[in-house]
Amino acid sequence: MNTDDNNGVTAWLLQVDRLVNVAIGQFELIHIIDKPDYMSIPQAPEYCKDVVLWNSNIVPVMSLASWLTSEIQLDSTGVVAVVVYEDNQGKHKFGGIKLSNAPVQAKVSNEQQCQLTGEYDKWRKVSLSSFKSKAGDIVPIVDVSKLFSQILLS
Amino acid sequence: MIDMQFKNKLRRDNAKFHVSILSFAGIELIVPQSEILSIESIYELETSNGNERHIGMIHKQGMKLPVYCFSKSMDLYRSLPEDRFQCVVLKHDELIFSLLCYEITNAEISDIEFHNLPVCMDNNIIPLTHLCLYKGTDSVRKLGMVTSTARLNEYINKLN
Repeated sequence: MNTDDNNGVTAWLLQVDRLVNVAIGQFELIHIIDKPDYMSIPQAPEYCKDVVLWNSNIVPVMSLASWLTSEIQLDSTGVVAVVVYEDNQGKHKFGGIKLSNAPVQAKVSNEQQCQLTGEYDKWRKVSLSSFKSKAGDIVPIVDVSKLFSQILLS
Repeated sequence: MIDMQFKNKLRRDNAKFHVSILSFAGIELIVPQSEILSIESIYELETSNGNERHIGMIHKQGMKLPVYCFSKSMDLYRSLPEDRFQCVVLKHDELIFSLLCYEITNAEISDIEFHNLPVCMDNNIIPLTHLCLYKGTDSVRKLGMVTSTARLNEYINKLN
């Protein structure tokens, strides 16, 4: 995330489920696709069963709501955040994250840092850290490279 | 990116890839045209009792070949859906079997890019070898799913 003043760093908050927000770095979100034209891949994991064509790239799309609940989720808004990350060979890749709402920017400071506990334990696998939002909710800071690696398959 | 062995299988001349597009249940699978042995009428199908993985058998070249029928999610159907009109016989080395399709079309595509499955979804179950980007007859760039006789055979054998 980008440190730009004493009030903290700028992050994007992504609402991935009715109740869950995650944060990613300011420069990791590069585009929003409204009502994407998905191609569903047969027998792919439920949380990552779709790809979209974006800027001549084949972009896998994650439903973190499906991953969290292990249930099929109906796509309520049809908004996808396109994020950029480096794969394990240092190449730039693109991934998509299904959203329940449009992303918003927020400032995050060190004082807000907290532990992932209880129902948020699952996020440890793909999180760099976490913080408490002003509303008091725990917000995992997602490691985008890990999210789009094979880690969720294991 | 794609391995050369597969690319060579698809390429018949220097300019174009010769593929067949198998359509069923709203999905399209792209396979090398060289692996299509024949296309048979659905009326040749002898349906089986529903306890097998295949939906029936057809006779081809003195052999009885199993005929499989996939849903949109590529689970096996045990009874014949109404939207299948053609039966494609796929052959690669010693492997030979048939799939029921809605439609089978041949295409020569010059502008096609093959991509490995994204690592985050590649669970070793997906019955595809690659994804691809290609220009359809309307010159619009499209996403495609690529498979092969060997991959489909491996997939079917793992199904219950």
